[in-house]
Amino acid sequence: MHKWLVFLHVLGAMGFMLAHGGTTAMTLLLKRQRDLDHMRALLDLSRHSGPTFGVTLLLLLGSGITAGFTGHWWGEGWIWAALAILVGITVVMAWSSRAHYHRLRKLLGMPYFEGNKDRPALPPASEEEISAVQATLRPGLLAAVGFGGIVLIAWLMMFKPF
Amino acid sequence: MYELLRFLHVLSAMAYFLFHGAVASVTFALRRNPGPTRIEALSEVMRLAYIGAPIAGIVLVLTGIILGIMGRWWGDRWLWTSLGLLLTIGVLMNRLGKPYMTEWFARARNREAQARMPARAGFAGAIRELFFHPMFFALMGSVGLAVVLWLMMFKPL
Repeated sequence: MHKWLVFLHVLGAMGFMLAHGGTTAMTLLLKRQRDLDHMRALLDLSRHSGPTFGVTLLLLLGSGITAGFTGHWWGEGWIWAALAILVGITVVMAWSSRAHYHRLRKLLGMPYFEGNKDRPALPPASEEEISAVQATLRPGLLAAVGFGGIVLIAWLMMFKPF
Repeated sequence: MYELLRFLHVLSAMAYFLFHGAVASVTFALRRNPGPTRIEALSEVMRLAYIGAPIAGIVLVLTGIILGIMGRWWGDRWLWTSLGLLLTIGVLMNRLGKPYMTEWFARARNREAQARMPARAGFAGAIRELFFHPMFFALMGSVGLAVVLWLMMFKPL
């Protein structure tokens, strides 16, 4: 039973990475785009991976939490540290998504998310306004937080150092 | 040393799936009729993935080979089965995915050509539609990946 849970957990992690492919590409490429339609294409790429992302995250968390019980790991520090890092990454990503990417969607005249609600598209803003938000994007930092965090979590899970 | 290599093997697999996820998102985006302007952004995503995926893939294969030697697993059938399965998926993805990408990128770049393209009717058309679809690629890749992972973790053969 425990081994199957770990199998599901690893499978969920692989699916989670696959589901993040479009969003990662968008994050890395959006800042250097000058064409507004290119920016819209990249932002749409990220938006459509939402359902797969949700399902794989549920599988990852569900199997991980249950495996924590069957493996008697909830008394160990590494599992709490891994969970805290995952929550930390999620908070940073969610903040960045709202502060930068949904703001850009709004300015580009695309449907966006604001105030916990999906909002319909508004008329596009000026190129200056769009460029100003684009200039605040930090793709390198987000990639470092995202992949660096995953590396740390994998290390904690595989080596169980404390 | 062995544990560190295994860690590297897992990390390279993660990176490999991340880059493949970017390709998968483009295969689905192509069917949403992106048009000639937006298609350039999707081309850029493909270029990024084609740089990252081979690097991650090489690390994945190399660490896998060394781990196989260190763990004395090259005599076990599960390793050969998973390698064979990976190779089969790779060939199938290449044979089906490449023409899919070529056709849909061409369609998106030239809407007139898209309108002129004859739709294939009948049984052959239905079969082509089934196997020439991103959902089929995703299903084939995911099921194959799950079986390879099961072979590696349970070592049943």
